[in-house]
Amino acid sequence: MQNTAIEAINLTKRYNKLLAIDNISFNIPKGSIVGILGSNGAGKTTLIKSLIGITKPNHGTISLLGYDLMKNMSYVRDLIGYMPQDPSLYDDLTVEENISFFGKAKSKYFSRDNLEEVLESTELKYRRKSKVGNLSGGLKKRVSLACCSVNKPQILFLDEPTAAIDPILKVKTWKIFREFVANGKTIVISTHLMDEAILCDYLLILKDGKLLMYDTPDNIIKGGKATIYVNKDNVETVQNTPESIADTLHKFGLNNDIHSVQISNQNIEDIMIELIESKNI
Amino acid sequence: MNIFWIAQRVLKQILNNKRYITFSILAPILIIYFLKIFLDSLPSQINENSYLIPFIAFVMHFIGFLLCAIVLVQERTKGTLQRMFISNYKKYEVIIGYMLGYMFLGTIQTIIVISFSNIVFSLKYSISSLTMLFIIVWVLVCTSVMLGIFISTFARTEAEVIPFIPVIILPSIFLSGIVIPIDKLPSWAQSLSHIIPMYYANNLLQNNVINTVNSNIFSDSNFYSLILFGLVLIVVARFTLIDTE
Repeated sequence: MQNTAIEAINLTKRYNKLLAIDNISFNIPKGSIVGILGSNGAGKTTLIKSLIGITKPNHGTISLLGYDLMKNMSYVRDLIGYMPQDPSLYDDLTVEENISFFGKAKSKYFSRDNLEEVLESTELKYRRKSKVGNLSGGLKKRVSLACCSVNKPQILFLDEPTAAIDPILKVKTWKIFREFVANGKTIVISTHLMDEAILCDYLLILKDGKLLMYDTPDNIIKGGKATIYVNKDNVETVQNTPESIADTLHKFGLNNDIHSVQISNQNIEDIMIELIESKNI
Repeated sequence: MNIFWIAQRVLKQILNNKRYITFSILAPILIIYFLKIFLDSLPSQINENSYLIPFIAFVMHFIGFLLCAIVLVQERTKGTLQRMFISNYKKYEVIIGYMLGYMFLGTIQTIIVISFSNIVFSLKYSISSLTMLFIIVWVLVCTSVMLGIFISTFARTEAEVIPFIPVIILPSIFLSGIVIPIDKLPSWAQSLSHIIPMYYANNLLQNNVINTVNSNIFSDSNFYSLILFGLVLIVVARFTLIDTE
């Protein structure tokens, strides 16, 4: 059984002189949540739009669930859902009408039960008859999520899904994501929020369209540096590699005149900033 | 079936938006009212109806084009058009769905405006002439919607639709024969008149409603030319409506 949800090989997208995606390749396994990270303009949205066929790459191939995207666009689009950065909903229609309209496009994957289920899971049942134009930004995001997940797609592409929503709603949204992937489905999330990145199974870090790193958050954190601050006779020594930390401790032999030893591990945000700002690629 | 969902959605949006529906019906009525005052101020030997009826059609053509083009551009700027494509609605489904949705508005507009004109101008036409007037204006409004869909593909924002009005719509008054007889136009302008829908609509109105040269629009080649114009625009819009970047 095919275990790869998404396979991208040598993907390149150029807008005139701007190289938005620069020859990147990766595999995303089924049943995982993958976060695409990068600063503004790193290529996150272009990559997501390429993966759903809205942006045509200049070079490279994309396979979703084993199907070549360009050759099987219509078939593949029945199997995926996409939530854009902006809500992209009809303000004059109700919550229910919006969800039904986008859901009915894939009629064989749409039913009244699906609609009820998605209204339940996104906690929109009590607002089903409200016009979308009267909802808050956070609620619109939930309606947008309901619109793309009502057909129970195999892969969900979410462009900054929890940006500008309150922390309680964010926790609830992530609960929905986890329930979704528990059934072997896959979610690709574009984000620049580090508290969200840490919740993903894999992180794909972009800079200027290039793939900087693709690994689990744990491995990325393990690869980060620890810094030791040794204060002896009021002179502070700072070391930040495992070898130099060991050397420092041996040298000092942890004598009584060492007043304090403090070890600080880099968090994912520090690692990201260091990667994006300093790595020459 | 997807065509039906799109038409239904367009219709719901139109009906939910009271301001939109009020504007699209009141605006032609207001313009026709002032047109009546203007025509009354002209010397009495002028046949009012030969100007009046085509102007009713022109106003409907103008408003049908403008509303459809702006709403479709709005769909693009809001991202809902792109979302429709990703949801797997096809280009031809969007075009025909839109056309069907607006045809409903066009039908309501046509019925109200023609009824209003009939009362205000005391048209005194027979039921069959009024029916023909209705059919001609209705087909013209459908063509205007197609023209709106086509032009919307060249505008990135709602404001960018505006420059198309003096380029595409306003010349229709002069090139269709409403104001200036076609044979008085220079030859280059005469050739241009054949590529605007208002030309065929005006011919149809002059032949079948105003002067009753013909008694049946279905035997008038202008009727089929107008329909053909709309069909060609459907095909062209299908190629110009962009679903990828």
